[in-house]
Amino acid sequence: MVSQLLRALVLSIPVLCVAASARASSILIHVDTSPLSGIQTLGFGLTNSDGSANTVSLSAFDFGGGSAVSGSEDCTFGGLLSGAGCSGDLTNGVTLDDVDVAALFTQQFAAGSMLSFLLTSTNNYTGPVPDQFALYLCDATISTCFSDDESGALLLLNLVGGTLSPSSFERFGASSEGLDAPTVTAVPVPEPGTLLLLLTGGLSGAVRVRGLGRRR
Amino acid sequence: MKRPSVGRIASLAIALAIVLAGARPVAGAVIPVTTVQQKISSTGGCSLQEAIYSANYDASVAFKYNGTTPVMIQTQCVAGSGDDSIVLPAGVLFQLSSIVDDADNPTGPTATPIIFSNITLFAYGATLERTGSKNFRLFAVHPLGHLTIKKAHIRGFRAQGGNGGEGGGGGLGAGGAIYVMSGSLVVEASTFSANIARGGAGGSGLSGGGGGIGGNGGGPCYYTTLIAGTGGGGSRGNGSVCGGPVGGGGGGTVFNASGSNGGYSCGGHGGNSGNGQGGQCPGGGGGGGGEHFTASVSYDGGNGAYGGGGGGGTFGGGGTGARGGFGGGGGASGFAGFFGEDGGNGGFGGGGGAGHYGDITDGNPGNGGFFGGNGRSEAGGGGAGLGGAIFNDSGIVVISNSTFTANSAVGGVSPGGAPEGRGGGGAIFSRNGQLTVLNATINGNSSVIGLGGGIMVAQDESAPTLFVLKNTIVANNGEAECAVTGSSIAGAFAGNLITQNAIGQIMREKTFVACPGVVTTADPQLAPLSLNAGPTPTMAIAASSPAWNTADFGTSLGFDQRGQRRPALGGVDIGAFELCLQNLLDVQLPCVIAGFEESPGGEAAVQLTIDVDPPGGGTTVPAEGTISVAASSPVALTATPNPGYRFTGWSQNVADPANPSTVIFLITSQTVTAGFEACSCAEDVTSSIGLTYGGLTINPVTRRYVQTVTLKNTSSTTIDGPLSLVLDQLTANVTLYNPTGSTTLVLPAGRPYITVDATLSPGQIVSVQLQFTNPGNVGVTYQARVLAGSGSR
Repeated sequence: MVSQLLRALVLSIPVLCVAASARASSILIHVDTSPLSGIQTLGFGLTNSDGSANTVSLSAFDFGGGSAVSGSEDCTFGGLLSGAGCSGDLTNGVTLDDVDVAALFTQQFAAGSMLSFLLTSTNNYTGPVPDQFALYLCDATISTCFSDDESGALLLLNLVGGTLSPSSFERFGASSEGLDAPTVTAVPVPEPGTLLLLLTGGLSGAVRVRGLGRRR
Repeated sequence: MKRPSVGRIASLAIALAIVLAGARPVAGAVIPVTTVQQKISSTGGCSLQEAIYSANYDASVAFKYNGTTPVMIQTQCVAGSGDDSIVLPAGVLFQLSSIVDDADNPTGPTATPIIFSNITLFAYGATLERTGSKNFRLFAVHPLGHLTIKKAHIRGFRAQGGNGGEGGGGGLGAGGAIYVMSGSLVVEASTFSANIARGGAGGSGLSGGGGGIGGNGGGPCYYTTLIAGTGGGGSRGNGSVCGGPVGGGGGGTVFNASGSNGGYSCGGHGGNSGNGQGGQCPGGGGGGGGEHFTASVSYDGGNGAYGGGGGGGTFGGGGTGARGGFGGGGGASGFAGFFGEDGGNGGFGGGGGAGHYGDITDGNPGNGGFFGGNGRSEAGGGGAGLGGAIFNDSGIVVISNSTFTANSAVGGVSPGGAPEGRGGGGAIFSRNGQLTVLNATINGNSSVIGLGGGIMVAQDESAPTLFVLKNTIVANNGEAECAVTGSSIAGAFAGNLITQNAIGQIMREKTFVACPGVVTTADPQLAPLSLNAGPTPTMAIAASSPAWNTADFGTSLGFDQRGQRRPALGGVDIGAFELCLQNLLDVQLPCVIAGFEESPGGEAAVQLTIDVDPPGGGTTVPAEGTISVAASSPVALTATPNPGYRFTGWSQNVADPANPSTVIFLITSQTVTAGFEACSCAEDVTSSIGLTYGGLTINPVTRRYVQTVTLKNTSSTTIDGPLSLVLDQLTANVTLYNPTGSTTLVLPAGRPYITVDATLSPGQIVSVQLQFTNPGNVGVTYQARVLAGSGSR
């Protein structure tokens, strides 16, 4: 019986492999914030440069023992921007839409050992200049942003079409503050079609087991 | 002046009278557009906006606003004269990022002045595209106007209805690319893609103004324990919060309301211990009702005019919300106490305003207009989104040999729980009047939570309405993609391919029936939008398509969108594309285009002779010599100096003599000379460099916009450095923060550049980081060129 089950599972592997390859991805961003302490500011920007609409969603924030400072969220960058296309907070998630030239979200947080969150984004592009997402880590008053790049960002994502992957991101460290560049990893999220294929794979395995059992 | 302006400004009329004294229109003028810049000024050539002003006013003038005072500006455009032709440089890209201030336009934010003249736009394959963050359409046509568009690609424009204030209904979003306000529009051989009309959101609460067709209703207004109503949105300007105990003003056609004062122009004033004032002329929002010192007295909001939202009623006294004008959302009622008060009805496409349920009797929320959401207690309905590309209100629209794809109409939401607005006519929406569509391809458009993703035609009761649809593909636009509602619509139909026609669906109490004249419902198997040898992109078919050779022979047009003659290959095809090659693999390749090339002034040919001085100093495109061109058609010119020389200018009659890339318009035969001189100058190597642009990043500390541009040597020879990236036509009020210098000898002069000390082997790349100061946070655009070598820039 065990051998039958193993055989059925082997026969199911191709189906399960097909299922595993049909997936959409979120991106997990991780920053080692252990060199920091006290109140800092986390910022996200989305600049709008072409005719394609894009939306970036950020969720599942983990401050590694730290926490968001409630009530400090700001979508206007102190009145500099309209605030259009920017909503949410670090507790419930942040959404940026490219309905204005730039959307910029900032909120203070108490730094812990690390910072991580999930990013999902559309990736529409008509060019020639792409829309761009940016991650900023700054001090509490945004008088310094920690980055070795002139942009002040730790992470940049040019939305140039195609499938997003970790290699789509430009990463920068901040040597003055001892911050390493963020790590970026893809997080597979099964789609409904994937679940269907997984179910199909499982069922085919079960049928195979029953079939083998009957023949025996 | 050939057309009576709808202008309301006496000083402007007087100024025009002075300018136009003695000028009598005798025949149409040809007005070349000589710059792609979106501008109104006295220098820098003739822009599209200025050209329309020239045609509207038969003079080389345009208008800007100094506060609420219009200022007349002399432009470099040819003066209009009668029925005019505006000519765009062939194949160029116009990127439009701002809204023109136009008090005469009650249809909402638009990139160009409303057209009240007879204009034919010869686009010659030019692309007109919205960029940046603002929502606006490309053209609006006034009841006195007639616009013909030939061979244009219009993409990415957005009409956004105004959001309701607290409890106000959302405004209508209509005509993502073009709004026809009882005038007439003819579209030939053109493409519309990715344009959007989106209804405004309904507000939550009470006493808020309704959204206008572009301006938002006034926001919350807390003065004392009693609360005055806020103003309705105007066609563009927002309604305001209250001015103390006085109701908020309604938005105007150009500006927001301020306190109790209505916005310029046409916004109604807020009520002062009285009802709000209605919108004063088309485009004006109604003012909000004033506060009263006792809760037993109520004041009502003022009604919106065409395009304006209604004002909100007094909170506390229970004022009634006001009716929105055409396209405007209804205003919300105030808080009522024992006896509920009514919200205002939305105008056509506007959401209804919120009512309030009293302790004893309930007020009635306002009803939404066509496809607008009804209000409910303390929530306004969403506005409708109608006509993703084209919206026709009682005018005449004729479309032939044109392609519509990826346009959408989206209804406005209602976060407070009232019904949302609905989308109708993802590509084209027509109300009353006349709509004729011949040999068009309408594919892949959508109406979100709505019907008629391709075409929707609607008739108000028995208003005269005509609908003609022949030899047209309407496919892949969602459920009921071709939908008609009305009781007595005249029409003619033949040879259509429609995959999901309406079948009697009912939405918002309207029944939608099918578009007749269908010969097949099969998928047309269209290729993606691309340039298939014509001036504008099309969607090709193959011989396997059910559209191939199945159109109605007797009513098909003689040429397709590209100029390919019909019939080809033994029959006529449905849609804007006529298949002319047998091999299925060749459908993307050019056919022999046998069609006409029409130009203003007819087909007369003139001679253009190009000289180079001194010989050997450089090269030109077209090459040195004599060519025949159609009279009054634009010819793009480019001069490139040979190594050791610099370009010094064109001799005569070109749009920009100091620019090596310019255009010339020939009425008669002419000779134009490209001048060069020997110098120790850097060489223009732009044609050998591939440029890749990174996105723009705001540095939160410096507040500068940072961009990385990568230069790649795409030639087979080494390019000796240093290399300089030169920025031409940089957006106004944007400055390159870190330039190495600005050009002096290599024309155009005065352009900032950044130099990198690099020599590029074939295929090698180098990156340049640009930093821009951008105090207005506007979209940053420029044209880039690359100079190489150690010589002067």
